[in-house]
Amino acid sequence: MAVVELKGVASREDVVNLFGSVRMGDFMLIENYSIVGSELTLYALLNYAYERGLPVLVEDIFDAFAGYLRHFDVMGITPPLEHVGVLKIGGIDELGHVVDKIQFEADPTLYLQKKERAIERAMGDERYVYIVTGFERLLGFQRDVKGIYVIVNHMRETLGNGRRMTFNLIESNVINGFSMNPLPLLESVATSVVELHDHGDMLRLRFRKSILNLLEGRNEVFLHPFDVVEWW
Amino acid sequence: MEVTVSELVELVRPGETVVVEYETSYVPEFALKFLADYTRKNGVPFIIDDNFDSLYTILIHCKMLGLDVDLSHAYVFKTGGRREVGGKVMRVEFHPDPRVLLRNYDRAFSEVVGTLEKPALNLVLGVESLLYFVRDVRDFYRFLLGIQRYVGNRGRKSFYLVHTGLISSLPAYVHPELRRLATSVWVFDSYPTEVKLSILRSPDLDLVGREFTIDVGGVSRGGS
Repeated sequence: MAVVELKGVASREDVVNLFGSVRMGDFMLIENYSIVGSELTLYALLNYAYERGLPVLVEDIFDAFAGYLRHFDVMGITPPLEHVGVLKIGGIDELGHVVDKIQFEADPTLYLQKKERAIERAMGDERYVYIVTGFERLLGFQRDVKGIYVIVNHMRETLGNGRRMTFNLIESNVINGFSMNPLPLLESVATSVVELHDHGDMLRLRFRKSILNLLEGRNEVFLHPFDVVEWW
Repeated sequence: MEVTVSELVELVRPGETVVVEYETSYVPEFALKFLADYTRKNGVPFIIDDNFDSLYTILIHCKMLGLDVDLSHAYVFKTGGRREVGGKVMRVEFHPDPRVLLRNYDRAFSEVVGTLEKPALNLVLGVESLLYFVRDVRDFYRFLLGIQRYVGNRGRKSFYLVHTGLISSLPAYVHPELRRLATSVWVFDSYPTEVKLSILRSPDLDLVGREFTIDVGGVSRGGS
């Protein structure tokens, strides 16, 4: 007889536990296929870090973070931003507390060096949450596979950095539109991988790596978008 | 649930960028007609971005459909094309570099419209034609980041009419990036006497996933 698996609706605690499972040195890849998933994830993550007293540094590649902030504004929801610094990579829209700005470099090696130096200047010896937005745009600008490998190798090297926990929020529908799909490469480096999908009027979180056992063996949970904005 | 166009427009918050997607149909013609009537009746400033004679084409169709469209109160910002139609027409000089083009647009906009008392309703037609001139990934993002800066501008509610077929013949990252930029995504399906609207995205989370129908009362001769 087939056992019907009970699909759970996630609570605030589930989401907090999910973020809590990420330790310093970890790299969580969040692949968004849904329509409001990125905004909700950012909202929850910024609140989570704020409650834990962790400073946040956002790498804002080509105004991706600025775009999410503009959406928050129109949605009328206000995540805490006092603890958030923004490191701009290219782009023209300086929203939030911009701590540094790096011109876009066609050569990924240059970009990576400049970026790490800027992070060093901004964060010093602090332990912090590092959120990357707009990574798909950076990858889309790479002229060949080599550039992508250089970037992914750098991520491999920053794994285990005891002062940084990294969340990379990727718009997968955009990345799938580029000629080379770097997602499998990124997934192989990440310590955990979560996909966000639309499911009717709910959001479905699908866990693909490392945190499965945290939610009692379930590999997916559902969220009411409306709940998430009510939790904080 | 059946709604009127004015009810739909009221669902949109000032500062929104709404991407309206449709298949081959008379959706643009009816959108123009209904929005023109709505803005005229309610004293809302009406701004039409007319790229490459798309407004002219739609107006001709309206005429053939017997739809009476009065645009005398509308500001028309015309980029490319030759046919100047609508209310007060302003030329925005086309430039293949999106940064220059958007600067030209901003200049024309602030010169003519200045500051408005009520948020304007901004209907953008033929954005696909603009995107055809985008040469590479970098140009596309210049364009995209340029229009992203209008998101949250409380002086307007913008509606970008996008033909799904045209947009999917552009590079595959264009469509998802437009949807991502938008604060609302509306998808229209047309039937002989009515149009069905699915709201895929909205800043009002209660509206996400909702479906509405709009009666077009048999004025339309078939959906496609």
